[in-house]
Amino acid sequence: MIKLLRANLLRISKSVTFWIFVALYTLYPIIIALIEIQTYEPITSDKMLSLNYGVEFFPMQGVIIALLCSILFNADFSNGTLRNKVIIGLSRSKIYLTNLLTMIIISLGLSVIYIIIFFALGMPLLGKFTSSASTIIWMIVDGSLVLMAYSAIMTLIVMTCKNPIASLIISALVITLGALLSYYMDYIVSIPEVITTLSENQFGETIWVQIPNENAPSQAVKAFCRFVTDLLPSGQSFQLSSPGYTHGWTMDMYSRGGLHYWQMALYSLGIIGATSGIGILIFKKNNIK
Amino acid sequence: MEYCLTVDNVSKRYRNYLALNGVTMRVPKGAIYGFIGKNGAGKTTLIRVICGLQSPTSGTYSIYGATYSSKDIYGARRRMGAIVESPALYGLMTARDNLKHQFMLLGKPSFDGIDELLELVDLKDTGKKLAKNFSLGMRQRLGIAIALASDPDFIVLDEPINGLDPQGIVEIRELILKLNKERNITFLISSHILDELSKIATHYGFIDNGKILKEITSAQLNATCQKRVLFKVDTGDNLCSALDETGLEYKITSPQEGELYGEISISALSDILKSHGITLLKVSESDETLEAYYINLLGGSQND
Repeated sequence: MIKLLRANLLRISKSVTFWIFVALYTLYPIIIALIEIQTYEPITSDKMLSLNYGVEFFPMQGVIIALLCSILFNADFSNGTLRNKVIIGLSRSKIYLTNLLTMIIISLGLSVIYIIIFFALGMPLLGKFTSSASTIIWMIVDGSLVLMAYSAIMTLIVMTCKNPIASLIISALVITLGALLSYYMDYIVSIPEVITTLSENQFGETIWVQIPNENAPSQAVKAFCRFVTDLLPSGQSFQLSSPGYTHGWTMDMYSRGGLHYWQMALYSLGIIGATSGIGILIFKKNNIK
Repeated sequence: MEYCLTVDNVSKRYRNYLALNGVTMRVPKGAIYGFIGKNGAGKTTLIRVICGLQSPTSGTYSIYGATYSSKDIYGARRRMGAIVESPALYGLMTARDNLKHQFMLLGKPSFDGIDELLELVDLKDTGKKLAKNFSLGMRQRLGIAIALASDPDFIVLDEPINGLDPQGIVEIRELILKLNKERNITFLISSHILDELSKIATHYGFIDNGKILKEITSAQLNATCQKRVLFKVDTGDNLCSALDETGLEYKITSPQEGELYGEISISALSDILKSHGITLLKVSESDETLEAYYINLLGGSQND
């Protein structure tokens, strides 16, 4: 697999598109830091670091990974260069896993660039972290796993869908639907169980009272929606980069137990394992032209 | 005889379409095997199957004795190179980088040999020119260089001269002959251009409708495709004794017409016939080519 990985990295290093993405991703944290420092109430360092893993409901990193994966690996199908690998006796499992590993290296590599610039420029400008060290570490771990999960999903799509255009469309749909689903699930989770309304008391005075919200979903529905939000990379990406980090808020964005860090990590690992297993099974059986 | 490829009763079905229907063929070591068939006959499908790009629906094949379903096949494939349909190249990389990439895939410890390969396929002076800007002939030669990167003993070329100009065709032909003679590389070449194939092939396999119609060596083909002299005379009297005198095989097709198999000058034939009191009225030569043989074979199979 090492030889395949070296060959992949050589090819990618020759790709102009790849270097354009690297340049854009390098500019991204610089622009954030420079813009924020000029605002009246700049974001915290916590928030800036979190933008490495998502831009609230817009899963930017997912989009970047989908585009890169599509551009870099669809070429193998359209040029026919995948044939060169199979013909010389490289197993399909190795080819698949190497492409996945390559995509993970690229996505984590871009993330590392962001982190380096964050520490070099962002943090000096925006100040120290407001969250605890363990929270920051969990955010980096979960965020990195989200990027890996995105890489695994996009590799599955590109390696099993032989039509480059179709794979690009499917990738776009998966990301969009994932983001919309996460948004909807989060909306349900955030419906309050009690609402405050105006009412008259026994003396005829108008007062604020709290009454049960008839439209609130049951606890079971909320738990399910929270599970889906925790499971989906777009949901995790949203949670990690949510507004809860801004302006020195705590990480306790839901104010109901905080983020499920270790569960989210496990879900991401599960997604990586499941998509890779399914991807290898399909790729092994696919006819290559 | 030792074979580098044996295919036994291989079939390949795509949903309702049977692309290969029990193909059995043998490619001997050291041969240049011309694989002939019309479009849709199953040539590329069989090539894809033996290259591991697709699995057969039924049947089996082995490369250097390693059955396709065994683990040994990965090792056997390392002794193989192929160009299927079109050369598989990275257009945004130079010829050298494409070869570097292939060397890396093969796990070669160094890039020694790239210069030699570039020289062999006459691409040493392409410098920083990207493969996407290569002519078709250059792309084909680079494809062959990539196939040669693993020092293969067996190369499969699918329509290697399709779309090439006359100069490109000659270059590819000479390269194939050189590799076959100097490195003893076995070739399996599919082509429509039968005239060109007949200049290099030592063995032929004819495929139609997913079935192998016939396998034949070039010596057998030459024996079959010998020259014929068709003639018409004024009388059939003494014709047999006159034709015996030519020393060639012959066939009398009607009392005044016949065929001689082999080469004989018209004046010599006329003189022999005259000495037996026969006047030669009409004569024509028929040179049966690979193409004619193929068409006859195909016609026969369609009549079956």
